[in-house]
Amino acid sequence: MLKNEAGLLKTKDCVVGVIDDDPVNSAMLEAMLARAGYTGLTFASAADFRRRSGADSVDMILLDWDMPGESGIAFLRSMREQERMTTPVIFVTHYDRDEQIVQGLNAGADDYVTKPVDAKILIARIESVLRRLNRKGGDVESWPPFEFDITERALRIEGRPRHATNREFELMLFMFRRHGRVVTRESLLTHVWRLNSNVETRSIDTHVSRLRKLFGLDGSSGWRLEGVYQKGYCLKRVAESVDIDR
Amino acid sequence: MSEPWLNPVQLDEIRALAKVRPDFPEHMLVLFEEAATEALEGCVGAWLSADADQLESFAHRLKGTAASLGAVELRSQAERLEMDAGTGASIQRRRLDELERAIEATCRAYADWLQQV
Repeated sequence: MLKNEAGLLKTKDCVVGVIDDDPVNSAMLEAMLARAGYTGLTFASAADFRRRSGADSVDMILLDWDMPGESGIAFLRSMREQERMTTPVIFVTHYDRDEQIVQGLNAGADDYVTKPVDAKILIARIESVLRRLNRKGGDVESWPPFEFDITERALRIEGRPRHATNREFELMLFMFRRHGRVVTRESLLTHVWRLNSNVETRSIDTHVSRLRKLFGLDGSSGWRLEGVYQKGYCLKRVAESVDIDR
Repeated sequence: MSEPWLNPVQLDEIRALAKVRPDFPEHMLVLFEEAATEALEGCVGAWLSADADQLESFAHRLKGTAASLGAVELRSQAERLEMDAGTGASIQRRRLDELERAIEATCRAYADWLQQV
């Protein structure tokens, strides 16, 4: 998730995924998000999200509970326990009994909103979750041996300062925050280059190539920035790459 | 005219969202009609094959769709159907016909409301 120079989240850069099989509710939520300055992406099911999530790089998920196929609660448990995804999740559901709310939060949801949704409450809950994340994150974000000092815009590798241009810093931070997920070139253009996603993407490939060489993202640092055919890039821990390749 | 089919609070919400997306209220009617009809067809299919679990599931879906638009009466009917299907109670065909009429009435009420937006 993108933050401003003080390390706080910039609302308009936050992409919120809406996973809900009800198109009426999805449309309502997407419109509420748009009105508050967020970008909403809708997914008709957990399977749809799994298929597209890397490409769309969401920063937060609004999750329905009762969906055909994999339920919201099963999806959330799987995300938290097996896939180790830390993306914040807010349940948005008709299930409003106390034990259901407890079950949802215990499964790993960051908050819980019942339908029908009041826009003001939903946005307040989203912002509350984001504030908690901002506090938790502090000024330094670390994926050893990489450390990103958000306030100082400084990079350290194994504790030693390393020069990185602003673009390199932004690009690496964006990829580290989404490590293990496929990030499209379009998403990088929009969020790192701040350009329309239709423009030429060769510049991204050049930057990625430089990052691999300059910062050891070819696997030598313990991280590998891999190209994903016809999609974009995925930053993986070397062990993750090995596991996947097997 | 929209009473008692539609919740005015939900309509206010939709009206507010139209400030960002002017075609949003019309878009919601199209989505609602499609989703509600699809859920009702699911209910009918489940009822014909005496599949209480499926009937409960489609009734739940219809309830959700109705709630999203603030379709009070439809939501209430769908909720009762969901509960009855869940408890294995006997369900007569006329309940599904009533649901169909409730969907139609909701769409008419919403279309009337649209004229005033």
